[in-house]
Amino acid sequence: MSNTSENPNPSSSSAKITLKTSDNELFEVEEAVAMKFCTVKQYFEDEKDNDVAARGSSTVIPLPNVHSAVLARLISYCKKLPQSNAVADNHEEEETKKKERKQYGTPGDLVDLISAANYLDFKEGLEFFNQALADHIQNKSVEYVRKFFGIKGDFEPHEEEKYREEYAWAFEGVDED
Amino acid sequence: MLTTNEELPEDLVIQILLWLPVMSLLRLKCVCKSWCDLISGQNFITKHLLHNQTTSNKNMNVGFLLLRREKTSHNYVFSKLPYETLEISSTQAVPSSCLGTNKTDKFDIVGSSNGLNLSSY
Repeated sequence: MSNTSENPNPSSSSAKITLKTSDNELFEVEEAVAMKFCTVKQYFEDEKDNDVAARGSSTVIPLPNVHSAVLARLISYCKKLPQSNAVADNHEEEETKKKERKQYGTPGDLVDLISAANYLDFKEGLEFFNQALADHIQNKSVEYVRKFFGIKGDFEPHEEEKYREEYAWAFEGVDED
Repeated sequence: MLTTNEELPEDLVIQILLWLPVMSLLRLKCVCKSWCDLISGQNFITKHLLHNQTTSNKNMNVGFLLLRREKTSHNYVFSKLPYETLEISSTQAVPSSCLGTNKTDKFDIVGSSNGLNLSSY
């Protein structure tokens, strides 16, 4: 919040945009953060009013699909974005990044974050949280994944059994649910 | 264990699956018929390949694949050597189904391209 030196355009560094969440909470966020959400950006472009600073926080943008708890996490992610997007060039760094991705909440929280990032058309965030969820299910059993995504298995038992035998090695070493 | 029952639309599920390694995808083909069709589909396979070449983890995935026998156990193992470092980044046992029941069976890797290996017995 206090660090405005990253903003390439100092004249607009103090511009704030107010976002209103589904539970009617108001968030006053820096323009640079809000503009990462293409849905918000589009809102201004549609209004043919790109001079955000002039209208400032008097404009309230409703986000009826985003809960305040989710928006707070997305904003906190935005502020850490530069590190998060650094390329991992070795195994240890990848492990560190995995740990970082784990900090954003439970798998259920990640589903909320993915839905919100998708609604807000926030590409970097969507990739980041998709990856975090992929980390989580990577070593999970088929049963866990079905339950997680609310999917009912529809293979005949003998079909599934045959497949599991054929690819037994892909079923070795899965995590405990 | 799980608190949410919220379902994600299919296009988002696909975007999540793109981040998974092939081993996990092979297992998840069992989830249901539509996932099986999706994961086996040419469209997804191409997307998955391109995804792995363009995302931040590409340095981990692009490189040489080395087949060797471990000194102590004499088991066959695969090792990955990323182009960037040319150091072994990970090692995995060769699946027993590739070796047959007879441990003296010999097989050679003839070549590899984009993660596909051609082996000969």
